[in-house]
Amino acid sequence: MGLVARRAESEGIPTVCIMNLRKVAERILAPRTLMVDRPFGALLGEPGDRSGQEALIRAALSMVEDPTVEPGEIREYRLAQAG
Amino acid sequence: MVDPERDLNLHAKAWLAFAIGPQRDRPSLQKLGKPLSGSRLALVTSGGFVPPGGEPFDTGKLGDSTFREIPVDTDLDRLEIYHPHYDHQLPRRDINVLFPIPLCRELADEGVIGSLAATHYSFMGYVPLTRKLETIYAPRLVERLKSEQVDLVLLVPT
Repeated sequence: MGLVARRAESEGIPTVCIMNLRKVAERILAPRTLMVDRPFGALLGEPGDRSGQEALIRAALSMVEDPTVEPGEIREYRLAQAG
Repeated sequence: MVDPERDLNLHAKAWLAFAIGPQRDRPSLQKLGKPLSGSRLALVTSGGFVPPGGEPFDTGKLGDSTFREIPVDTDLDRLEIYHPHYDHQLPRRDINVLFPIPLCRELADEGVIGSLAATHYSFMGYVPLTRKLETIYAPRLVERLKSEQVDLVLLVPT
């Protein structure tokens, strides 16, 4: 996913990647990464947890609007952000 | 604290060794040229989703670097899943955990984002050799994004 994101961004389209493995995220260096503490297959939340999923997606999308994000930034998602 | 590696089988651990790959240099970064509330979003997942009747992914040892196009109005309950390395019951129970078309459609209805693209995309996350992905399929996908005037992309791997 990170490689696809890098290509999109190099062609002018902003991206944000969700990831759960920091060592992969640090090697691939997607343009923007939001790290989650989630298992494979359900990175966006528990099935049925609509509010938790939405909070995470909103946090990810907000990275694209955040002018302080550096190229290759890997940000940790904290549940407190859902607050 | 979740340890996502704990539940991987040997095949997936081999994949992970490949996935780590070489250290990449600093990526370029684009600014969103308009407010999020006016932007068109496309989703890209590596969940191995195939639209009804579509060509299956090759889940063999060499993996598969191709992608499938999923029109936004696809009946998501009829998506097929070809991916050897995760529990398919998770997105079967709720597609929003991996390929959140329904949830993002609601965000568009609420005005959080401007709109959803007409097409979304799925890879099958097992791509041990990335050359074709980088030289053929990622560029092809980006051309599709441009043709649909996509403003930003959310990528959700398995």
